[in-house]
Amino acid sequence: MRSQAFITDQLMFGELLAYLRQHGFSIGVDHYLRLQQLLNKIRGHCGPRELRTLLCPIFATNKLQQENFYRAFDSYFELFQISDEDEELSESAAASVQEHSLNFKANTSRRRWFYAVVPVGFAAILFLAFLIFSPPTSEPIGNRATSNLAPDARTEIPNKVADNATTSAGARVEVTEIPVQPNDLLLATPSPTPLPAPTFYERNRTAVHVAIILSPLVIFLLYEWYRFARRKLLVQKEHSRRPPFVWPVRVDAPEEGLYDSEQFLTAARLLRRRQMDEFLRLDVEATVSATIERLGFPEFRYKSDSRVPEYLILIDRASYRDHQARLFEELTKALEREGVFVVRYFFDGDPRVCRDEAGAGVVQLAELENKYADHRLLIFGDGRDLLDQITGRLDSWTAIFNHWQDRALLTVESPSQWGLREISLAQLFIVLPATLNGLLALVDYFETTVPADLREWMQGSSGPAGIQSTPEEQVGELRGLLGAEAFEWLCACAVYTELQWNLTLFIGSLPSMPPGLVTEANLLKLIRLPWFRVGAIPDEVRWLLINSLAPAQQQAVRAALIELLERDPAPLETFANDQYRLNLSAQRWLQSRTRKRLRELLQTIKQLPRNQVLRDLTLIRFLESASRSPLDFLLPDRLRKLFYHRGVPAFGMKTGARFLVALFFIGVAWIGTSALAPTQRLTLPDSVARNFGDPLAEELDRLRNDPQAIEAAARERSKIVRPDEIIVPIISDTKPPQSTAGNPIGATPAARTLPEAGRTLPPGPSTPPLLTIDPSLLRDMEVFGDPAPAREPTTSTSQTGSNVSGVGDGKGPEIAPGGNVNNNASDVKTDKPEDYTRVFNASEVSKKAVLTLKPEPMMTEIARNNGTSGVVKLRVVLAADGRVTNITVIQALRDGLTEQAIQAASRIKFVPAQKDGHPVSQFQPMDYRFVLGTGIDNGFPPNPRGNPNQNPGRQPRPGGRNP
Amino acid sequence: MSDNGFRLYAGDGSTVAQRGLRLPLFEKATELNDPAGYLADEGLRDAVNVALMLGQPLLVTGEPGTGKTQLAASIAFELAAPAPLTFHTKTTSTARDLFYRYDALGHFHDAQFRKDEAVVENYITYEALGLAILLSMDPKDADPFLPGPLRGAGPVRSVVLIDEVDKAPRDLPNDVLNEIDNMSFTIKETGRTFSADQGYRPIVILTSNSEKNLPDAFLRRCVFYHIAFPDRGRLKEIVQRRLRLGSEFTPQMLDHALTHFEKIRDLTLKKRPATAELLAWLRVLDKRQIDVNNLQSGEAEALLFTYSILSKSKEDREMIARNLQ
Repeated sequence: MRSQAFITDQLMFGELLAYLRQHGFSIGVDHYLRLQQLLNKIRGHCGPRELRTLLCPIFATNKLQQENFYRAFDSYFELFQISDEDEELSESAAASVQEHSLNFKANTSRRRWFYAVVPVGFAAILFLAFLIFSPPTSEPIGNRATSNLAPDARTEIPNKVADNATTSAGARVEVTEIPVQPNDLLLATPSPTPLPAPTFYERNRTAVHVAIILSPLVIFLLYEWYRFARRKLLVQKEHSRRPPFVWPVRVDAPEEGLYDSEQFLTAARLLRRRQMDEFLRLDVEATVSATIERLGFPEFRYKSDSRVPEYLILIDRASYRDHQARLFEELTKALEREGVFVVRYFFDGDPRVCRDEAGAGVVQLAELENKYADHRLLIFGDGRDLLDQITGRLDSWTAIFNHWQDRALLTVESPSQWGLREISLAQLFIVLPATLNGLLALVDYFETTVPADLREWMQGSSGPAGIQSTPEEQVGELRGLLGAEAFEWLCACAVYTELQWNLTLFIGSLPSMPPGLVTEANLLKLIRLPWFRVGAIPDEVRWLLINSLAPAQQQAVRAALIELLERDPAPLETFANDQYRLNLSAQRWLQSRTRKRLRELLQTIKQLPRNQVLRDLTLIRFLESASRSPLDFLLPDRLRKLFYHRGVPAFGMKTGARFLVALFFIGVAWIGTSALAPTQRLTLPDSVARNFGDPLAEELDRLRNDPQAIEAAARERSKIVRPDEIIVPIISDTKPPQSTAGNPIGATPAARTLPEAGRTLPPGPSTPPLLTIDPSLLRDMEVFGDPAPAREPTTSTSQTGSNVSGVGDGKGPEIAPGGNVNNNASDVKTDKPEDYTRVFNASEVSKKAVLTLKPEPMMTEIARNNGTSGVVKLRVVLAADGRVTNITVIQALRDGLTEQAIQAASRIKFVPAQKDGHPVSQFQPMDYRFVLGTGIDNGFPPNPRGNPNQNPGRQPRPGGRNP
Repeated sequence: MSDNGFRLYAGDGSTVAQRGLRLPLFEKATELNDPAGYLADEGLRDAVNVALMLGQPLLVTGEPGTGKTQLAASIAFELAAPAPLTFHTKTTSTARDLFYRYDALGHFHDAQFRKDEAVVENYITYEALGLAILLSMDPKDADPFLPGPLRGAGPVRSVVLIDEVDKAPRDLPNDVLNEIDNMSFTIKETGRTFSADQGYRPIVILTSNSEKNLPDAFLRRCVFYHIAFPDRGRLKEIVQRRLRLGSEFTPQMLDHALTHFEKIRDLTLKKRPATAELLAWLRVLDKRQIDVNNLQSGEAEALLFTYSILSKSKEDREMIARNLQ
């Protein structure tokens, strides 16, 4: 039987019990005994699945634990889970996530392939360009007559040119029978004497130079394009990421040790001391003896009932990382363990609105007053918000506290700093310092009617509470205030990016720290600092604090942090993972300070959104103090902002700066190649021409260096050319670059010179007569040209010229009819009968659905324990009949938050959307944001990386609630 | 008349006779408390069984009106035990009160005037748990102490209901730990100790509105179950079993009413109506033949009137009326 296996296999239950214990179940030996007893009794009589409801009553002691137990059981024994609706839902959510990631993967693999192809393609293009631009010299000059590109048969050339021009460039060419033009003549002149074969470089010099000069530009462009592509990838990555947004470093709560002193036990005993009740009871013995004394005349004696005192404790909690609140929570929990009856609530500044321990329910003070009026009220906090901000007197609403007979305010403010505020508060409360001594005195104050005297506590010198202006002064002041050991502790706490209660205790108890550091006194010193309330130290101060820590200690703290971080990695592809990786690699690098670690860190930084990195300004300072490129030294601080993203070199240079660098390299290459060139006589226009791979210029170059060829050409020219007979193929000047590309010879110079009407190629110094082209000839050429394409631009300018107001206005009249057409089209469309039963998008309906009730999802206990937060995105159909149907999970969260959100969404009440007067169904996206501790949808759009500095540590208050 | 005799009290000085009506006899809804109609969910069923197996008290929490108290009757009914012995906890209850009460004043009085009759035993009244322990004992030993109707019933396993244990002072649960563990108690006034026959160990059901947390040591000795509010299907089943609705009240009308009820529960009320309120409300709807989705003339007003069954405060009632009318 299957259940038999269960009974014998205690390990499985052992695991389950360990899990339960982790989640706040207190499981003792008696639980094991009961479990065993139960299993023995039901031996074989029920399936393992039924154990769920059978075991739960033994372990759970409240509603939350019952829910947690079911969840834990289900996750441990998934095999036996019934596939109920919930499961299907979560499955579909998981499937959608998976699908998402699959898409993402497909995308990336396609991209990778693309990245591989592009350089290859580029190389191929370079090679082709090289082939095209490489001059006919690719053949030995003596064989040029057979070359395709420069055939010796002069009559063939124009045809070829014409063919090339018409087919490849699509330009219009006019060809006459007379084939020769001066350039052709030059180019095609065969040299009678074969030259010695040139080297590869000599042969391809131009191409090589062009390649060298252009390569920085190409590299720049390629890199930019790559970055652009990557940027898109990052956005996509962002989409594929899931909550949680934060992954706080997990530190096991330290063994109780903070509160086990004799003093504490005494305080607990005093707090437990029974108090008088309002009821009276007949004291039988006293009555009997009194009656006997009165000789039988009845004399009744009563005694007052006593009862165990119960405490309502309100703790001021500024943030969920508020160390102060945590200290008091620990204190009251320790009291609870000692048998003091405690009910805890938290408030943020103003105690009129409190939250219960789970953080889910908001309770009004008036409700607490109804429920716990017979409790003793203890408020932990400074009571600032109880006073009128202007007059400094107690606010009128504080009269509600009079409903509690015994009430005290335990303030964190050190008694030496007490002043008017405490005096005002003392009118309503017994004001005591929030220390064990304060607690010890508390009960006496409760039991006597003597009003508490503040002066008893206000001892010691009141230190200067001045505000220090610079961080340096602050740190110096702190060193004095805290004392060497506590200051060391503070410095060690600054090593990690955030402050966390458990982490603070953990760091304080590291072996490298002074022994006996974790005491109430030291903790109180720390938590009085406002940073420990919001959970972060300002970066300026943090930097100074870290640097005041001895290097060996710093190493030890970092080593411990790395171990903690490595032990509990954040789940992959979550928002929290980014921060986690950054923290881990930063700590690793700062611990070892090796180049390898630095590279890793920089790699991580490159992959992260800059905002996220910038949050940790201290890290950036560390980076800047460590890695400095030569450029950093060159650049003054003001320019660095221009060159680097946000002035941080780790983020890399801005595009403009990179372009400048590329230009710089182009310049260097240019100078370098000119230096390499054998002729020093190059002038600028020539070299420009050469840069564009102009065969003519190449020829010029060659000819300049080849006196024999020059002579030959001169001879030919004097023999043949009659300038007035020349008709040059004219190519449309509207697209000169194409024609250049498509036309290796002949047409090119004409095409290039034509737009420049009348300008000639500047003569090279050595060959002035050969290259002179009569300007009149060029003008003639222009006249010969087909006017139509040339006129195109002029006609357009004349159009715009006539319409002075410009292009925008010119377009105006065109749009209007177009719009009309569209309108007509839409009119036609609406005339068609509409299907009102289908589901519409919000944009399609004439009257959108109006939500009348949007229930808030509750944070689950397990999510709170795990620190899960984030956004659940749903898409629901607000059906025409007023129901919420087809809830689709777009983005899920773990720990039951998705289910909570679905539940909340299913309870939405709304007025259905309308289209043309018909109620219709409408799609509606619903985002439920789970913020740690509230569990309440604020209706805000998800803002995963809001700047913490704007709202340090405070949780947004629920917007939708009526107080 | 538009309210078809529903408003017996007109509040305008006219008598029933003048209006042609007469005060009918009160019909008690017996079926509402019939243990045979009780429907426990799977978890509750198992929790009861676990409590039976381990011989430990069952602590039941849940919203008021989810059937915590009726559970005891249901268990007694199904186990063919005598009707549950109930102890209603008061804020002044002490541990002793669970077992017996001693009428000191009466004793004192009688000691003055009827000296021969003033035997301590006569001034001791046994309470639920005390009675249950007595019932588990041999009738020879127990019968002298039992009240008339229970005499001769034992030995039997009886069901004890300690209702709203959270109302008791904080130390009560801790004070009865030992007594509940051993099922025995001592009468201080006589020094006599009664111990339950372990074979006939009473079945103890404690209910709590979970207003206060019970001490851990106490919880460890209990089997716990929290009754969640039933889902719709279950609610329908409960209604069908609990109420013998008239034939004119069609299933469709019931569906409409349940939907309406769910809407009300979704509002942020101070006290959300639970199953008990639903049953009472449905009885009224049934009597008046109101279909909440097809209100006839005048029925809207009547429906508004019925909301006072579901709401426990003025604000809640206004809230319901505002949101659902």
